[in-house]
Amino acid sequence: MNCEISVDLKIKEITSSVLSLPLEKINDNLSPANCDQWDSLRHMNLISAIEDQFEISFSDHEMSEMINLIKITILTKAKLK
Amino acid sequence: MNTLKFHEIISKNRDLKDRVKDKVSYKILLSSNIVVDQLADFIEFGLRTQGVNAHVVVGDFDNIAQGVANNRDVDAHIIFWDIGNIAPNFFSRMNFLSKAEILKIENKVYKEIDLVLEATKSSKILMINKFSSLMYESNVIGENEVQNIARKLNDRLENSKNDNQLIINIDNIICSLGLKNAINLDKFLIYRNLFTLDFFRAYSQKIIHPLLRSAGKYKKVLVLDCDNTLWGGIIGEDGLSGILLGYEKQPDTYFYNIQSKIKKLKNKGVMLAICSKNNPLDVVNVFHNHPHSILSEDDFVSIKCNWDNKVKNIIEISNELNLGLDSFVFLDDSEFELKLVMESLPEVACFRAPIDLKDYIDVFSKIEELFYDGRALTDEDFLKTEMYNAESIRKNIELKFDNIDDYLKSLGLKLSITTITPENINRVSQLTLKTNQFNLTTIRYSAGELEDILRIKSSEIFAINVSDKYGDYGLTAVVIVRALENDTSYLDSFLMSCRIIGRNLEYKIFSEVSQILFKKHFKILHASYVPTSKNGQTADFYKRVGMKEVNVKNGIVYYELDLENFKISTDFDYIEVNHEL
Repeated sequence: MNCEISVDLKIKEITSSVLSLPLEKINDNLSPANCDQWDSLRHMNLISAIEDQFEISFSDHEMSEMINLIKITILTKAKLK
Repeated sequence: MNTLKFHEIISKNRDLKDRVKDKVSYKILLSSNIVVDQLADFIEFGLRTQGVNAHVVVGDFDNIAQGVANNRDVDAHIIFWDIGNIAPNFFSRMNFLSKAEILKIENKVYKEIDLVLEATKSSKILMINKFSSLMYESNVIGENEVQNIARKLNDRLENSKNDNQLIINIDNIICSLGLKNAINLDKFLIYRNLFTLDFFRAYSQKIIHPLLRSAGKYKKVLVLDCDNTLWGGIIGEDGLSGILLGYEKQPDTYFYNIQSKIKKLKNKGVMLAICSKNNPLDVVNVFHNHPHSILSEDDFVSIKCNWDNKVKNIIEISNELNLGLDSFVFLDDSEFELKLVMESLPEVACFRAPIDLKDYIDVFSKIEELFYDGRALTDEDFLKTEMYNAESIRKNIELKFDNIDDYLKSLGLKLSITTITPENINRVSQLTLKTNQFNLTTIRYSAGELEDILRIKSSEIFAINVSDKYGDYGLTAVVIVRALENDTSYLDSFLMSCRIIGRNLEYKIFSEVSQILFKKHFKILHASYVPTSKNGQTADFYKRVGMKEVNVKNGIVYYELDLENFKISTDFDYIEVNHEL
């Protein structure tokens, strides 16, 4: 459980760095649709940064499902299992 | 940098942006026909940690030739030109296009290459990747069409090479990482992002040193330990016949090879110094009498063999040579010594001679990368060690005079002032790039930019050679004058190599240049002092030569001089001047 929480937190930290937003503004519902900073380039950076952090690689199908932060978190955790 | 994750680099880079040392910004245009935006953070971060105020601008996607032509004023260009995108969807279409259609596309790219090389001529540096076909090759046997295309495009690149151009062989980086780790074909199809973060990380590490050099951050001195660094064993204990150095057996050969590589660096203009806890006679004995020592005593500009702390010794070498510690590299086998130096002198790049000698060549190749960027070296580079050796002799004489003026008078100093020529333009450019301490405005110029200045009417670039009775310092001072209105000119640049600081030459140069300008019918001379972290010693130079301070804005001090009424000082008449201007 602890490990799961730390993945959540790490993804939020990464999102905060990549989108240049304070950590407290990062919530699960954050998505390109409701966040001006989240453009297509930063979306690519976010996915790359998560892959880089956890040493995983997403398939194009997985990437197409990453429509908001909660989806990204779920897909990342699934990879880490 | 190796261990930092991508998001850490992004956030640290953002933090560094406002804290970086240099005030003047260094602009890099990153142009590509694929998505390479992620590289920008790696490069900015690498440069900003070294004090360069770097700003990477990513050019419009797939608009290399025009993008470059519209941004001629940037300091550096980096170009990623992917063969799979030289025409729309070429990476798939190349499989079925006819020879004639491919030829048409090749001709289009030839033209674009020519445009790019022309438009980037006057930037400080152009880094352009070799066209790589590795990711598009499927056949192992036989000829691949894509290999042929790559070869032809690369020939074009090589054949029209400019002086400021470095061709980066990315195949080497891809091979060292492995194709699967370097290339991400999945992402390529979605984002047009061909390269992985691992590739960008490795790539930025390779290109950072030439970029640092073009931004004026040069490594110039290699400080070496002796025992287990230049030879195996300890000379004080093992004696001349006991140390390991030679070409007949292992591990002697490792040290022989390293010495040969050190000698090569010295021949390329790198200054060598010794900093070793040893008896000086023992060390010199190896250089004189060991049958396989490639290095000799004369190869070193300074030899510090004593039992003092190495930090103190390195600072002394830096003072002797008048060179900042950020131009120093230190190689030692002792972790203790290295840690001490790293902690006390973080500007010095430190390397450890490995315990496993098989790795020594690899370690040393990293040192070579710090000094060498594949570009032409000037005559002064080859002369440097000889000149600095003469400098040590001068310093010793210096001690015997009570009065510095008497000493300076005894040197027989000579100045020769000429205008810039095709033969010395590279050296002049190099001086503008490398000189930090005695440099009033610290404006960096490539040879191409200097040529641009000369095209402006009445502008002058003075190249000044200095010698004394102990040796020739070579071309070591530059003054760039730009004409304003009819009778007004201004000093765009006034700089002297640190090799000739402390001899009052600057006063003589200033008065000579003023007289030349007056003879050319200029009546007013403007100048400015632009402060940097290193040029503090020149802060009041223009005031000392008699110029009038007229304004201060954003830290920059503006001066003016009435050339008609300027009184030439006779204080420095012991400096002989030759010119026919």
